[in-house]
Amino acid sequence: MPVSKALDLTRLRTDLEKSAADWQVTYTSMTALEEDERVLRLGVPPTPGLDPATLESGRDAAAAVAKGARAEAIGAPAAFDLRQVGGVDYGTPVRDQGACGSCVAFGVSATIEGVARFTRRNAALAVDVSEAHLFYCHGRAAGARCTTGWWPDQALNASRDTGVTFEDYYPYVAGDQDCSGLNADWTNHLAKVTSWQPLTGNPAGMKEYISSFGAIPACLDVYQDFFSYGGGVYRHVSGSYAGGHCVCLIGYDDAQGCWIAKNSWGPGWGDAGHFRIAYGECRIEAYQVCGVQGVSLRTWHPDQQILGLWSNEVDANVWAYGANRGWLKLDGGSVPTNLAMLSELSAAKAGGRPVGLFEDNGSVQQIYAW
Amino acid sequence: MATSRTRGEPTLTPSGRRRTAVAAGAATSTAAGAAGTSEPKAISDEQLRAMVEGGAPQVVAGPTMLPPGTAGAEAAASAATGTWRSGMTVTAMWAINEPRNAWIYVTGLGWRRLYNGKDGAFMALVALAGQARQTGRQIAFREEADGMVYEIYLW
Repeated sequence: MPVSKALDLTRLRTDLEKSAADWQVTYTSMTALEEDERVLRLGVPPTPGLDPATLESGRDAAAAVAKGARAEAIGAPAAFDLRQVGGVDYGTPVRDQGACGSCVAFGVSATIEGVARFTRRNAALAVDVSEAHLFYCHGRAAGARCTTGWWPDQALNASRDTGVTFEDYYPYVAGDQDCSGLNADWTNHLAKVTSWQPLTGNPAGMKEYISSFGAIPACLDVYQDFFSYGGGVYRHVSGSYAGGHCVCLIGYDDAQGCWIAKNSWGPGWGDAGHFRIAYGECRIEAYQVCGVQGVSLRTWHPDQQILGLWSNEVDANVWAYGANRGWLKLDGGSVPTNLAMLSELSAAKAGGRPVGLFEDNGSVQQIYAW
Repeated sequence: MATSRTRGEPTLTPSGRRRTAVAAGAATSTAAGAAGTSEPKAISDEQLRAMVEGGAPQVVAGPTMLPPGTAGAEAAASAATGTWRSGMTVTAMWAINEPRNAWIYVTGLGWRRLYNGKDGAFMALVALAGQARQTGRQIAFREEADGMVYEIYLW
């Protein structure tokens, strides 16, 4: 049933009241859009060979599997939320993909940012990955356009093999581009996925990856009622199939039986840009899910206050703690180089002066001590 | 291949009083000691490897503690053996004209020798201790059964 005009919230509320669903309908940034505009804010192609009429056929079984994969049975916490880990918020701001089917770039970028922060236990890490680079350069090279969408596994391969620059080197604007907006110095300012693996159909693995690395990208089937989600644990109640979508899972809750996701429809949508979705719903575990194991950085960290210095009995094994970066190993190529860097950083620390650190995969390659 | 000499050690406290607990081997007598009697000895490959590697087990990993006041800051957490001391202050240092022989005076503990197995590690530890002494910033350190400081966090 195509919906060619704004969604009817009154009817949706009535449908919800009749159901056992435990979520709220509200007027969102998506509600007033027409169907073609809403579909443009998705962006994952249909699963090849899968009949849309059968999408919901395995819902109950999938929910049972996800519920049965208890996090505590695999040594993970029963609940996890990247925004509340021991009182620390490792999340990054919610973005808005606008009128372009680039959700994969947003779901993968949000994952890279969350993993980069959480694996370093550094909530202040400056990491804002360029969705434009990911979608308009890497995606475009693979044939992706705003109207076709893309796949998370392909985006992760590009993020691992080539890397993704930061937002300030290619700011995102919705609408197909030819990659010409990319800063020529992007190879010196980028994040790389160190490795990833498929987690599709593996809810226990999803929980393990989320609680170990912070976030994972996942795809889901979107129905018309989802656009008007305003809080609670989402279950599809009414409305036709709209398309495939990619989001970033940042948590789960076994007691509530749900995943916690960060969407890319702006902070005004849903629960401050996030939503909870019940286990087994909308093929969230079965569409395409990937697990990222780490993120390396190659970039300048300007204006760092050195809060700590460290060494031990191993030659050329000196580390410095930058206030907004955390621990970095000083270049270990030679003892003299190492000691020269230590000397400069020691002086800066003693004087309370900021330094600029150029990092390549956890190692300091260059220093400015102001 | 340089070897470490361990005879010299500090004999004064930071206030300038001669330390009574360390009476043997005053710096002057050590420095002007008798001519060495060492001579080359045949050693096995394993012994050579142990000497080159400094003897003690290597801890190649990086730091695990976080600066005090940092979100998620933890107390000493390391897979290494040894005794951890946190919240320490260095009030004096001592060195002598012997290879890799430098000591630090830690308030409440007394003199501690810095690890002397390798030039690079030794110099880095001396630099960290020197900064701690100059700035009055606290350190956390690991000392091993041989009495030497093997690892320093300077906050």
